[in-house]
Amino acid sequence: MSDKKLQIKDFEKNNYFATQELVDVVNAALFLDKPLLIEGPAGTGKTYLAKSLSNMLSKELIRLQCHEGIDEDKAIYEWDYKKQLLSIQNDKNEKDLFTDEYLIERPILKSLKTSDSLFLVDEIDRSDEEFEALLLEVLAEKQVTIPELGTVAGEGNNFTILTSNATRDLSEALRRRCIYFFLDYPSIDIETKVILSNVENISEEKAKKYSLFSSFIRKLNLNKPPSLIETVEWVKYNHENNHGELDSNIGILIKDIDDQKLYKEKLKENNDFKNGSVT
Amino acid sequence: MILKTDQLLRFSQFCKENELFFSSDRLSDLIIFLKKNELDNQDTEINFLYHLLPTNKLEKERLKDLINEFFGYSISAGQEEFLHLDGYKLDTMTDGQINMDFKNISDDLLNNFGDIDFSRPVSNVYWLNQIKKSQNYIDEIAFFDIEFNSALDSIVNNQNKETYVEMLDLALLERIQELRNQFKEAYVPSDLSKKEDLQEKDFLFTDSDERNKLLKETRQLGLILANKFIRYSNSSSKGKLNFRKTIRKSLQSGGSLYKTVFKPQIRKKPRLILLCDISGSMALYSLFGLTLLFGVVQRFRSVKAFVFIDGLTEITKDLQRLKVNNIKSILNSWNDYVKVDGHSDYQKSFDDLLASKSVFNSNSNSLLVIGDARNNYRSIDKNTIYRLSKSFKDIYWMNPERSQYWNTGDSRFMEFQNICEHYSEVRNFMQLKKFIMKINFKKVIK
Repeated sequence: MSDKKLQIKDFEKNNYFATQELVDVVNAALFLDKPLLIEGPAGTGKTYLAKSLSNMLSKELIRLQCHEGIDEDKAIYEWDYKKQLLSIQNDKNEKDLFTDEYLIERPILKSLKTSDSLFLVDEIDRSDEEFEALLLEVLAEKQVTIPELGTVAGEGNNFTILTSNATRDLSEALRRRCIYFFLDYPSIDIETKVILSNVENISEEKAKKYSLFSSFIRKLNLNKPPSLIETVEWVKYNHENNHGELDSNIGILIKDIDDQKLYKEKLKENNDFKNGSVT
Repeated sequence: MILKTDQLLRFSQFCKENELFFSSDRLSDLIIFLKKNELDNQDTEINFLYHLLPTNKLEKERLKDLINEFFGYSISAGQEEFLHLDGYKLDTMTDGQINMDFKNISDDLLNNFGDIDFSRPVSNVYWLNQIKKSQNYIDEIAFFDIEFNSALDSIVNNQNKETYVEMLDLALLERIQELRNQFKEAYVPSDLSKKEDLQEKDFLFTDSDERNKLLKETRQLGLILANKFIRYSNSSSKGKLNFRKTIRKSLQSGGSLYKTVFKPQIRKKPRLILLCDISGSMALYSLFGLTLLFGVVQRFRSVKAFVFIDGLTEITKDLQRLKVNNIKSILNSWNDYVKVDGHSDYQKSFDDLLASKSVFNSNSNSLLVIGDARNNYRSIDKNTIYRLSKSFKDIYWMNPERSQYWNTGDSRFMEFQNICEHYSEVRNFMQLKKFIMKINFKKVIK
């Protein structure tokens, strides 16, 4: 159990703008020494949270990017067969071929063996269910079992973060072992802070206007609402190049043709309203 | 720790009674956390309870209501933001802030509205709408009616207006409820209280915003259903050992068998067949049915989705191509799915299904039907029922009709009930969720 309590300002120092809720949950996960499962739409800062936390806690970040078909060879360990063969050819008396020398460590094993690490399992929902089952031992017991070597237990003081875009439901067994947090699109207050810290020479009022505007876009029921980073990029481009129009360069913000059409319609409606043609 | 352990246990029991289960280790983690951290007040402890117990978003939303009910404490959803724009009239602002004392504003509006006869058996929303039509209410929100030169300012202003109206309406509804409670004895309380829980609201009576929210959740349920089926149908893709290829491969490594090669497994994957009745009698329920189908199809390939009225049409590929906002387009092209007269015909539709290649030569498939089984006084052939029961490993049926009307008039549901693994009335999201959670695909025997 960790006694270190993080504060909002610790996050802000690392350029991560978090709500008190999120800070509380991170503190609880650290205290209980349990993995943290962060679920939410793409582009809301889940991966960035892990990066910032690794800085804050001075832990080495070890990342495992999940994808369909990921298995233990890619995630935990693999035996270096070529090296084993070569060693047999060179030294006929070589008996023990299953030692650390021939073991290729993959992220899970590496994180267990690193004493002070933050292990990020990114986009766990992209992996297969079998892989989730593989993770259970690591998450609950902080150990993996290698048949030829035995059980490798974690060095301690490791913290695990799992992220998911919720494209599929994760198993109960996995959820049960984690502290859960749903990271939604940021509030206007947080988004304003992010814009202020990322866009140079922008006033607070202007930044707030842009964040209100992006919350307006996210309410439009788009197929793919703009993420935080997309909003920041769009504001950056528009602000630095003095593009005042809201319908220019929307490709930076909205990346779906139907969404763009809907957005333009809503802008037009808004303009009509402004000009008094819609009552 | 301010919250007592037995209080937490009673709360856990209360959650169980309301069909929200938490494992004991989650509860013990929470107690350990609260004991060690010595938080300064009960509200903070309840906030931690809200963060640490749930394992998914749905649970979190449900827990919010239960906390409110049990502890009388509402978890704040975050304060909505207002942005000061230069164009606002200064007399409505204090220190650059909009007057947000909604309780006082709503009191003023109610007092100035004149005599309101709260004894009338109408809903609170009715009174809210009456007040919204009043000149005082229109004046109250008039300070947002300012023209801005910049489109951005104009949008921001509209956003502010929406938030303001939403919060004012909420305060008004609360005040109306308080006032009406004074007349409570004359009425059954359920008539007066607004049905707060959206999840239990009949799909038919949802407004556009509520519907969008529920459709989003329904799609998620589709993903869960697909996931359940994958879990039971998946098996290793490896077939038997390919001995010849393994030996050949071993030559590369001087004869050591370090790489084994397997034959691809050739086996018919069980399929999930989804049927949704989109005839007129299904009304809005078919949209929810289609959204569920959409969720399943998006996640899972070994699925066939059909709609039917008086004949069957496969829409699997259409759903795969569709975007989430366009599900309605299937209902908009309703005419394309009419085969004969546009009146639902279960006999013809199931005959079409049994004749289709999707179910041909396999009895390991599962069938999920969303329909009211109203057959327009047409008969159902017993042989069709028998063939259905033989062709599918298990059949699930969601009927959007109230159960007391089943098997009345032209409903032929009784004939299907016997062959269903599970059937239930599904008229709201809570019922839909329960149904999906209850589905338990049996392990496929190979």
